[in-house]
Amino acid sequence: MIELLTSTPMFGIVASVGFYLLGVAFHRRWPIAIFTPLVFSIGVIIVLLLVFDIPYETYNEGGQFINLFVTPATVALAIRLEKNFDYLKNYYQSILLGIFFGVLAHTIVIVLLAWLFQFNQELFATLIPKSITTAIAVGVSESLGGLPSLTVAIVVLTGIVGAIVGPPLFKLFQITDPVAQGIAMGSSSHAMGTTKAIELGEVQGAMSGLAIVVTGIVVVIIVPVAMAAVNALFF
Amino acid sequence: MRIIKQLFWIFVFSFAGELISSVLPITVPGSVLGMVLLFFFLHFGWIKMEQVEEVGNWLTDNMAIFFVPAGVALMTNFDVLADTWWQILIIMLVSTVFMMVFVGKVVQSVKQRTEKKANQEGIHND
Repeated sequence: MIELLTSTPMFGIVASVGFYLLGVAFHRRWPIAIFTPLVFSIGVIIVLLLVFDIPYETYNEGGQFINLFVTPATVALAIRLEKNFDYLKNYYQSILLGIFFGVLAHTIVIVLLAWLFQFNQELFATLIPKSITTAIAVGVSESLGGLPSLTVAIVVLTGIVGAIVGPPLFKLFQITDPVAQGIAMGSSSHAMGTTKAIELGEVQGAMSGLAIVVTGIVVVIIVPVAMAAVNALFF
Repeated sequence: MRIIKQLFWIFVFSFAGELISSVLPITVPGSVLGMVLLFFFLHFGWIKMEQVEEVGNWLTDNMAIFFVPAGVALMTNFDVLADTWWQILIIMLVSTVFMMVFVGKVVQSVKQRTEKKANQEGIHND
């Protein structure tokens, strides 16, 4: 029975889309983190594959077709960048400085903690792109020799955590400027932070969307340099 | 036909990004290069927003679903996670909170400073 069900690539496609849609329905009803469609569908599919002893490769015969759309979706982020370009032009100093030093400081925090926990280079490369949008994070993780699938999980978790802790942190540290709030949300917790930023206000939403793209590009530029420095220092 | 044309352009930029990425001496994801290329083409009007907008927005609005297979691949990393999951969680929490506050503070203070300066000089470039 299981053999029959998994004999066609359609199995992976139907499972991915189906459980994602189920997650959307559940999340609408009970808006808690565990029902975030991406988290829910990944969790349920992993459990099912393990319970019925289906290898990942069998699932991925269909899954790869969905995965194929990651690149075009990332390319399409250019549309948002172009639409929000006026904001960038007006506040470019504060936005670029904030994101640049943010990425740098974030990288240093991860380097220190990874060193403290005696992580190897593979795990370090997996963690480094955690604050950026999944598509770019996967590419960075891959090109640095990390574990892309683990990066996806960490990126998703980061998004959930960021969306939850963002607003209370703004209150605690008196970050009241809408531009600053939006950039902070987008740069530290990508698209999931952006969904929360949209709830905070229109400016926050637009800035957060812009920050996703800019942070992604900054990470792509900074991280290979940081990686080389870390290699020279620790490994 | 309109959708297919838009899809075609987005695939063309994806293709170009991947190709450039494979010949570049440094490691930059092809998807990012494709994005930068498309941005320049849109910004300088070499391609019109209407030629990619509908499909592009559909792709970015529904981006999360495309990551399901990559996330499921997590099951192939359970051996790594067995010993390190709690350390990874700590790094994730600490670095996310840190970056949120740090970026917010920097953007806010730089923005206030530049606005004050602009006001003093009597320029309203807001």
